[in-house]
Amino acid sequence: VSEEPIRIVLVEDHTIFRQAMALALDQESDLRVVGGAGTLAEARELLRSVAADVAIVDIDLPDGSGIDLIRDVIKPGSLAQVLVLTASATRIDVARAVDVGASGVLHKTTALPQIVDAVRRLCAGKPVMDPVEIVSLLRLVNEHRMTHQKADAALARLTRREREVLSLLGEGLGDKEMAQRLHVSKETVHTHMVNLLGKLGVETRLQALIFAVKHGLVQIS
Amino acid sequence: MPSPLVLVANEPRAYRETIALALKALRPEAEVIAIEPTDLDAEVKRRRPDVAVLSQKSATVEDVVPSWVLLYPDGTNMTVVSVAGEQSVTGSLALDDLAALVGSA
Repeated sequence: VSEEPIRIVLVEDHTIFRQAMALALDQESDLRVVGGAGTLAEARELLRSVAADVAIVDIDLPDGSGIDLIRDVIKPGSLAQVLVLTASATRIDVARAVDVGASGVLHKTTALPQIVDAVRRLCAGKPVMDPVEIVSLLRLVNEHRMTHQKADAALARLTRREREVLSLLGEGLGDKEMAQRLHVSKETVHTHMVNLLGKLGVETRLQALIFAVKHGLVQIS
Repeated sequence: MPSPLVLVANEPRAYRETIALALKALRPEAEVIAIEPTDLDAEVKRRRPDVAVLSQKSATVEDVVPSWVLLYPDGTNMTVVSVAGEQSVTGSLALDDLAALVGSA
């Protein structure tokens, strides 16, 4: 009795690698590449028109992150699974990929037979990642989420004036220049500064600025 | 006519192995060998290949190998193709183009 081959979609912006990978996988009798895409937009279009069992997805795509695509693949009623294949993912990228539903994450330094084996394992319902590692990654995502929520809450406590002071700090202004720009006294600027340092839970202006940049309140060009 | 010799020495490993496998399938007349990038210069001097695929520039390759392809240096989408000293830069080299280069070597 012959079984249906595993249908694979490749999402990878490096054309030669994508085409070579398709050719390599198609040489395996139980695997069939049913489509390839080089961008997030192409991949979304492709996934609307073909049914796949496994999507092999790169994270770094020209028009966005492959992580955003994982949710599109793992949709209700679909048994498709995602294997992330990446060259540059940080640990938090890997964690986010797993958090949104990737069944496995492999680095591009992985040998081709191991990638093929991972595809087969996924379709056989076998894990390709150590469960302990998965728990650790999910914990990491949760910690990041909590940190961002705390930061958002701290930033939400800032008054409009305190946000303006932070923004001017990002322009590199001192108290005197800020006071002139805001038409207030230096002492008032100082008061705003003390208050915003307290609300953000930091001790120095530099720390406040880094906090604001890190969480998107201030952009330094 | 002797079969062309191709050394595939680009990073990362998954690229190197799949590209070597694909070239062997598309150009069965060619001898395609995947090697570690760190061994490239020594292997170029020893084997004198007709084509090299690499991801970091190499003076040895430029001096010795008639045709070479610098594939996605520093993770970019760019490719530099050199044939008999004539270099061109492209952002859209396909597998068939690479196979054609091997075929003409």
